[in-house]
Amino acid sequence: MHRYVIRRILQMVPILFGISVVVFALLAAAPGDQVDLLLSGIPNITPDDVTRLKHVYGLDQPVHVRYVKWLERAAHGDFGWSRTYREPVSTLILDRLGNTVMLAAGALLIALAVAVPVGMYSAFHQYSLADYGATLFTFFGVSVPVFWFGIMLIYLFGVTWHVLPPGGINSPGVAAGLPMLVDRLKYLPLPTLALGLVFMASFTRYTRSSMLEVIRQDFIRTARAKGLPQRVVVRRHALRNALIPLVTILGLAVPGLLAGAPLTETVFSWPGVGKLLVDSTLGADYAVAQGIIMFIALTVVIANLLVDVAYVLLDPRIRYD
Amino acid sequence: MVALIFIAGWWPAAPGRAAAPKDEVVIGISQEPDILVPGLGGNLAVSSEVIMALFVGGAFWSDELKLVPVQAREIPTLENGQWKLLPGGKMQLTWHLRPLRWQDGEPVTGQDYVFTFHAIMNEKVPVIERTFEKHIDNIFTPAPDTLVVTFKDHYAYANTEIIRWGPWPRHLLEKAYHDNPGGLDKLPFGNDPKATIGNGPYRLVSWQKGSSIVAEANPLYTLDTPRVKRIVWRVITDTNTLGANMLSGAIDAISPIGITFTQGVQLEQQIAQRRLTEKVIFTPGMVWEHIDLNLNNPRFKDRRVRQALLYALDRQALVDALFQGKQPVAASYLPPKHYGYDPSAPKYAYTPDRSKQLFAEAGWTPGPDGILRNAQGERFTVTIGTTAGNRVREDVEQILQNQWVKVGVDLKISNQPARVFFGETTRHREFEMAMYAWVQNPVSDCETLYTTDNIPSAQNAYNGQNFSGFSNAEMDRLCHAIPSELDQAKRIAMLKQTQAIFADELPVLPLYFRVDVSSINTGLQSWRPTGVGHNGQVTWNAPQWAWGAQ
Repeated sequence: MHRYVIRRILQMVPILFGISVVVFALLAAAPGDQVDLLLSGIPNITPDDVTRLKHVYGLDQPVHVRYVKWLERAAHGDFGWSRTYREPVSTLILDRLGNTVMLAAGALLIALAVAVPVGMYSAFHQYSLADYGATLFTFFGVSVPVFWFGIMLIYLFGVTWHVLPPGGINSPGVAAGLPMLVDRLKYLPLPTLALGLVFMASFTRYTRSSMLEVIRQDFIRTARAKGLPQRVVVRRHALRNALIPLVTILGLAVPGLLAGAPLTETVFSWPGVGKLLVDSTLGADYAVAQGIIMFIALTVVIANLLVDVAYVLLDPRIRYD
Repeated sequence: MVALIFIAGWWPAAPGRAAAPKDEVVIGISQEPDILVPGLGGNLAVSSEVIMALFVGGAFWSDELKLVPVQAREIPTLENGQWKLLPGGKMQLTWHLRPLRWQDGEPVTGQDYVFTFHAIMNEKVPVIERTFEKHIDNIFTPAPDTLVVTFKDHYAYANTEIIRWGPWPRHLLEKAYHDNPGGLDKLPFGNDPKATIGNGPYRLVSWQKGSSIVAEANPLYTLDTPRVKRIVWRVITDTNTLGANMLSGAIDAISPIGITFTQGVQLEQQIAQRRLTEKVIFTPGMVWEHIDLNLNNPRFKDRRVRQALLYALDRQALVDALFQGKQPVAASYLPPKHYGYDPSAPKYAYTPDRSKQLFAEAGWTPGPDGILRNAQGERFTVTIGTTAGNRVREDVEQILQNQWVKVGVDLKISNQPARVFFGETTRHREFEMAMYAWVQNPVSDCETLYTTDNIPSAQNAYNGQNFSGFSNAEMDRLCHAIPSELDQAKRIAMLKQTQAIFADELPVLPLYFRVDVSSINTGLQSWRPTGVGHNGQVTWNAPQWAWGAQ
């Protein structure tokens, strides 16, 4: 097991290197840079100004030279400087990551808290009215566009009833620490609910179908034949086995969530990583876009590794030699 | 979740119009500033809006497009003798400064302006543009409250500011500048509230990136007394959410850098339906929507064709249909608010018969399908491009398509993301028709837009802005001469001549001028948007904002 994990970690290095080359080349090949975009907004900027700025920003250097410089700095933990946000890229990503983690964790918690019990209940009461209701809910959750649902939540809770803030992450001027954390709890429910809905729906579907499969297995029948009470059968035997597919789905969902949820973050003006990636790409802030994509790549490979390890913990039949 | 919602509902600070204290103004903005230092950064309008509350210079443009002295005692003019012509085509302006202090108590002196000028002119300092400063030969301070600025040449706009960007606090930045001039935009100054020492009516107290900026009245500001204690800018990048914040009362105003025109109209309707105390303000602006015709295209080489295209457009119907007539039809490259605007310039009113006649004279007659054809049988099919995703421009394209087909012009639409459109297509003139906007200012002229040497080419590394490729010797002469003509009356006459040439040659089809859209709670007084973009943001008179009866 240990050797397997070490081998997987070593394999990450060439994978991440390859991704960095491809991403850098693609971003460099994209038309227009930050200085080109300035041209469109400032009629009296002169050709000399444009040439000077490109030189100051290093945008007049060949792509391979820029890549080697980026790689050298990245190897020392310096992922560059954001010309849009005027901050080191790593600081910027870490700042936004905290917001994204808060949103993602809230969404996942809500999703799991609803999906697992509802999915289980649906499975154990297949074709009941409750099961049909749950199925209908999952269709709604999967089908409804998150931006529309978000705007509706804002409209109802923020504009009509005035009970929750219509977007934002916290009240201006609130002192850092506990007061800010408490203040943020007011801002968290709506984006969390908007983002969590789709996961809630899909997790419910997975839990239901997985549980249906498990409860028809021989070992469940054996457990019941031994006279174990239903709750013990469910908790000790059915649930643990039914969770294995859900862990896979979670493993795939977590990197995506850490990469941010651009639509939710945009609708609620939640300054997270996803929105940062979209804004930096549109604004030709290449250093930020490169940094975030590398971060996403890292979370994907790590999440895959963790899922593989989790299989071993959940299913004793699985071994890595 | 349900518990959280209810808890949030009971909290006294839950957003609602009753909770907002009236010693502050909360403004919603849809973009976030990059850096809060005049002249550094990406030249974002939203940066200018905040900067104007934190820093002051010699003069500002008011909402009536009049120069208002701020730290300057008065604006130098040839008449008051503070603007003198020197031998050799040079000139000299003398500015007298009113006493003012930086927020740390240090006086703002002429030396701060001198330092800023030298920093700006350093090639390594990432100042975006130095059009103004390039004319300056020297700047010195015979006394701490006096600045003498000498110019290399006659420059008509010399008294619009002491220097365009500035002043910066010399006592705080000089060492960092000498150590690393290229790193001036990476200092805490302009980013960290504690390090951002301004000289304006407000001081930066908090900047939570991605969320909010808070500025409080600067007790050391002596040029005015801010009536409102705090200004809070809330960054709400989704413009629908921004409107919802206005309706909910969570913000007191939406900055002109906020919602689109269409959203402004919708917001106005919602405010009326809900009988709220907010209102939407449409301020005539200087942003000019137009269509560049690529004059390298054989179809557009004949001036009659260009004129025919404009005669075939019912632009009044267009602005009525899309903007309720609130965004006026453009007849010139200069907006009506500009001092050199010529109201008598040809308007090209909708005259389809005249359009058909001009097309016929140019050799384009309708084919069997109604589309124009020339003697070689080529159809008059042209492609227009703009920034994809811009709903208003896409709607305009639809109307253009419908109107032009009536005279036999087959218009194809091919839009691109803004990065591609501005980064590649317009720069390399790889278009037939390009629809976009220029942001004009109170002293805009035609020097960078319509002169031959500004046609993008390999010689200027494709950095020129005359995208249509217009080349006219008389236009070149006038456009280069205007900035150096000191007599305003003569300058106006020259600008009129350029507008006449422009209207006759039509290298560009003028569409309409945009308005700035903002919204305020009606209790907020003295909110006077300028409509002039970077050169005069709504914060130009922030100290006069006050809360009154609603």
